[in-house]
Amino acid sequence: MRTLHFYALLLYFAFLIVIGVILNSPLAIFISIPILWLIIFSEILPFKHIKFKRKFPLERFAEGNEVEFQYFIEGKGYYFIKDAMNVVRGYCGNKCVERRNVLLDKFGRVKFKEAFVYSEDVLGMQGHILKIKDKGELRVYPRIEYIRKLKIKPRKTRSILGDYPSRMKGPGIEFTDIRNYYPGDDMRFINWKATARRNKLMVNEYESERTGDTVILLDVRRFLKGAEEYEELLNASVRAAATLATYLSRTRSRVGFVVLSNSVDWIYPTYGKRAMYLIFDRLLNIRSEKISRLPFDYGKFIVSRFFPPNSFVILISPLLSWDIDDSIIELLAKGYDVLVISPTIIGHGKDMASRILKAEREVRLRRIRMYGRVVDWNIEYPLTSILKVMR
Amino acid sequence: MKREWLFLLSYYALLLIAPLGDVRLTFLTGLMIGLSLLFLYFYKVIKDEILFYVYNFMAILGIIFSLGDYNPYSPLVIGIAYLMLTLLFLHMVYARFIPIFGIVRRDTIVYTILSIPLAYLSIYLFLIYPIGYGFFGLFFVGILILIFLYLLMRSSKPKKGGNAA
Repeated sequence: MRTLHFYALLLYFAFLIVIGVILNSPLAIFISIPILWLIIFSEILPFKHIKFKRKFPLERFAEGNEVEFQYFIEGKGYYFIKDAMNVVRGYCGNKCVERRNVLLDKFGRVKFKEAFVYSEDVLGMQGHILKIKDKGELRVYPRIEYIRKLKIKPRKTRSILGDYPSRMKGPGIEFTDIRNYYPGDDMRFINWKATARRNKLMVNEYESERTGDTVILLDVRRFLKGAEEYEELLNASVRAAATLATYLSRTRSRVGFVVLSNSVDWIYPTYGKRAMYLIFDRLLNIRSEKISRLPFDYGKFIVSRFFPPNSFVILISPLLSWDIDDSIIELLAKGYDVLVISPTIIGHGKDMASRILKAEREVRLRRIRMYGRVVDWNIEYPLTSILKVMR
Repeated sequence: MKREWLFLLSYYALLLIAPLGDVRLTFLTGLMIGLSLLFLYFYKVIKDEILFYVYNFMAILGIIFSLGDYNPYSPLVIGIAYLMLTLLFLHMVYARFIPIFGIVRRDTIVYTILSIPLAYLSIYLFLIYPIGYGFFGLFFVGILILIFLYLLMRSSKPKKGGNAA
C-alpha cells in the first residue's frame, strides 16, 4: 500500500513540472527532481511489513504492580503497534524486542481483543495496515488494606463453629463466667484457683465461637464516569469491598456479595478464598459508565430473598439516593444486622448543588444512625483506621 | 523549540531574504509564506494530513518566486534552491515521522539529503553536455522516468499474517 506521503510527493512533482511549463520557470522543474529521486529511492529500498508477538506474565496483578510486556517485532521499517494496553513505536531493522514496563494504576480487566499494526518503509512512502485479532487478558485486582483483626462482627451467628464470639456458651476461647461444677463437665474447664477459694468445684465458661453470614452490598449507582470526585469515590468503594472480602474470607464465615450498578448482580454466600476470588472477579467489571436509575429496592430484594434474616449486611454506599434510608430501615426490621460504610470526600465542591447533596446525605446519615451502625468514611484516610476504632 | 519548526523557520527566513531587491517578488514570496502559514494554522486546528502537504507545497512554491530574479541555470542559484529544499524536506520528515513513530531514523535523513546531490548531478548533466541541447540530460531523465514507471507498475504480492501472542 502506498501512503498519502507518496501520492503527495507525486503530485508535488507533477504540479512543479506543470507550473514550470506555465510560468516558463526552469527552477520549478529543477526543484521537482529531488522529489523524483525520493520516489525512486522508496521503490528501490526494501520494505518488509511488521509482525509482532507479545509476551507478558499470565498471573493476577494488584493495583500498583508493575508488569513487563515484551514485544517481539519482525520486519523492516517504522512501526506503530497499538493493543489494549500499550502503544509501541519505533524502527525495526529485521528482528527486535521492545520492552514496556507498565504500572497498573487502575483496577479492572483488560481484554486484548484487537491489535493495530501500522508499518512504513524508511521514507514513509509504502505502508501496511494490519488489524489482527488479539487474545489474552490481564486482571488487575483492586488494592486492599491489610486488616489483622476487626471489631465489626455480626450480632447474630449461625449454629456452625466459626470465628465470631456468640451469645451462646460452649467450647471457645473467650472467657465469660465461672459456675458450679456439674457432673459431666469436662475436667479441663475446672478453675482450680476458684475451687480452692470456695472449697467446691468451679468451672470456667466460655463464649462459643460461631460462624455468621456476611453480605457485602456495594452501591455504585450514582457514580458517573469522568467526574473526578465520583471516580475517586467509586475506586474507594471498590477497594473497601475488596478489603472486607479479603478479611472476611480469612474468617470462617460465609460471605455473599451484591452489587448495584447499572444492573444488580450477586454472589451466593460461600466460604474462604473461593468467596474472595468470586467477589474480586465481580469487582473487576464495575465501571461507572452512567448514572444508574436502578432503585435500591432491588438490592433489598436480593438480600432478603437469598440471604438468611440474621445475616450481617455491610453496605458500602455514598448515600446519594433518596430511597436508601427507608430500605435500610426495612432490612433492619426484617432482622438483618446492617453496618453502613459511607465513603465521602469531606468539603469537596463548594457550589450550591454540592452543598445540597451534602446536606441531604447528612440527613440520611442521622436517620440511619438512629437504627443501625454507620461509618462516615472520609476516603482521604484508610478504611482500616476507621474500622479499627469502631465497636 | 522542536527541531522541525526550526527547519521551517529557517526556510521561511531564507525565502524572504533572497528576493529583497525586487518588491514584486518579495510580495509574491511573502504571499506564498502567508498562504503556507494559513494552511499550517488550519492543519494545527483540523489535524487533517492533507493540509500538511498543502502548506508544504505552498512553501515549495515560495522558492520559485523567491529566486525568480536570478539566473535559474546558475549552479549557485540551484545550490541555494536545493539548500532551501533540504530544510523543507527535513521539516517534513521530522514533522511527519516524530508524531507517528516517535523517532526519525538516520537512514531516512540520509536518503532524503542524498536526493539533493543526485538531483544536482542530474541537472548538471542536463545543463553542461553540449551534444544538442541537453541530450544526455534528456536521455538521463527519460531513463529515470522509464525506471520510475516500471517500478510503479510492479504489483506487490499480498501476504497474510496473523501473529498475536
